[in-house]
Amino acid sequence: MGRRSLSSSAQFRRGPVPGAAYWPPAMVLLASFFALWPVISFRGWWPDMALLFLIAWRLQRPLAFSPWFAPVAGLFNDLVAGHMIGLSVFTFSLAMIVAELIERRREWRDYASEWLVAAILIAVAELVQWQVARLNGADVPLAANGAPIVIAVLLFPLIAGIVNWADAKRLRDR
Amino acid sequence: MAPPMIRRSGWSRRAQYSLFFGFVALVAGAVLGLVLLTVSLVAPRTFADIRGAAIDATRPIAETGSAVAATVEGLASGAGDYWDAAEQNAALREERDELRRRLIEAEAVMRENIRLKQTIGLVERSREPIATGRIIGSSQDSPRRFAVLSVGSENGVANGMPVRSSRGLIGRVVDTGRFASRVLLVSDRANVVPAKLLRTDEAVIAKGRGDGTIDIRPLEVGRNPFRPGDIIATSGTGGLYPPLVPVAKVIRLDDDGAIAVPMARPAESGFAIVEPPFEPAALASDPLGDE
Repeated sequence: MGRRSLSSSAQFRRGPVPGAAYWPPAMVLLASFFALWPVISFRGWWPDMALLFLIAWRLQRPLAFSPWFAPVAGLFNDLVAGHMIGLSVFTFSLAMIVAELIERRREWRDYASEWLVAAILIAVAELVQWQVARLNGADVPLAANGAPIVIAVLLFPLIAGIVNWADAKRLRDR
Repeated sequence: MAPPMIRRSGWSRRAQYSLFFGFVALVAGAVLGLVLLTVSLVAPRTFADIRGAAIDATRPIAETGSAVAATVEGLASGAGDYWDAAEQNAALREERDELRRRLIEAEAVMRENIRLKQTIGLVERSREPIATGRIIGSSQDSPRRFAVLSVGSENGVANGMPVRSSRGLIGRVVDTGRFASRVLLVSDRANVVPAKLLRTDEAVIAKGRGDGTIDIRPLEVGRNPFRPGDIIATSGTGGLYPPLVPVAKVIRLDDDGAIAVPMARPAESGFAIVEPPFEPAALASDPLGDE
């Protein structure tokens, strides 16, 4: 590695790629468009991809987003996915707040605890969404929320992997 | 590893402040979200324009995606059809003969019907569809059941109008953009359709269950009137949905009602017809488009 980087110009191309700071927000906003995936579904078991990417980036890099980004991304997600205006604004901000609180008390980070934190954030967001649907007249039984939460939680490691890879890519870390 | 993975403000006053204000900003964001949410819940029409514009803006993506999906699906099922063409041919021929017999019967019944209606002086209003569009998307990450339709106010679509396919009722329009609109499906929890049991003409209420099935209850409590295979159709009560549009087919009974599946599966039907409300007054008086 040493010799090759000396002989080529690779050593001058180290450090973050230009615009590296915009990767996390851009990925979250793009993830909102997963809601337009052309599968007409009957159960609504698809996870909220924007939320998963937001959480994954937040856990990967605590400083990935400015604090005001969460509500903005939430508003964008509401509009694209057709949720009630304000739903994702609230759940995204809430997820960031809870992540912040958990992080202050956490002594170390490992794979399992990271996943657990993500699971908590996902479950809270799904329950808020369920409660809002209930207030709006769609009284779905609580048990019906199990499947979407489990699917989202199981999908999280994949998203975290993608985010990890993208993070290394943008920082030219590897 | 470039930036720190764990944030510790340490003794730096400046770092402490920036952490604190970041937290305040997050809380402010959450409060803003709650306020917006409350407004959307209490006054659902407040954001109608923004929501309409958002459906319009996302329509090209949704439409492209659904076109690609339809092509792929068509290739797959096309190849399958080719595979067992001979068997299918025989089955279809048999079905055609059966249908021809039924058609003749139906024609006879129709003529009789017209004659009877003439005798009692019932006038059928002709019902022209307002627009025909494609279903290009659906809500996938929420407990609500919506679909996105590729026609909007440019085509005369307005909130509250009933939407059906050739096979049955799909739902009603709840958000209208200029080129696209959002439909509350019959399988949504908040969608209640006044209907009747076609076999006995008994009045029933059809309410979505949020998982692709519909809950059917008789209006009069008593003996469970349903049988698996029964067809539920709209009754026209309430004036929004036109009468005698098939809604669902009973698949299973529960204690005092039944579970049914919608006749029109939006995933299969593809095309949808927007109709004017059965009684135009139903739209003017009632804020039916919740959400």
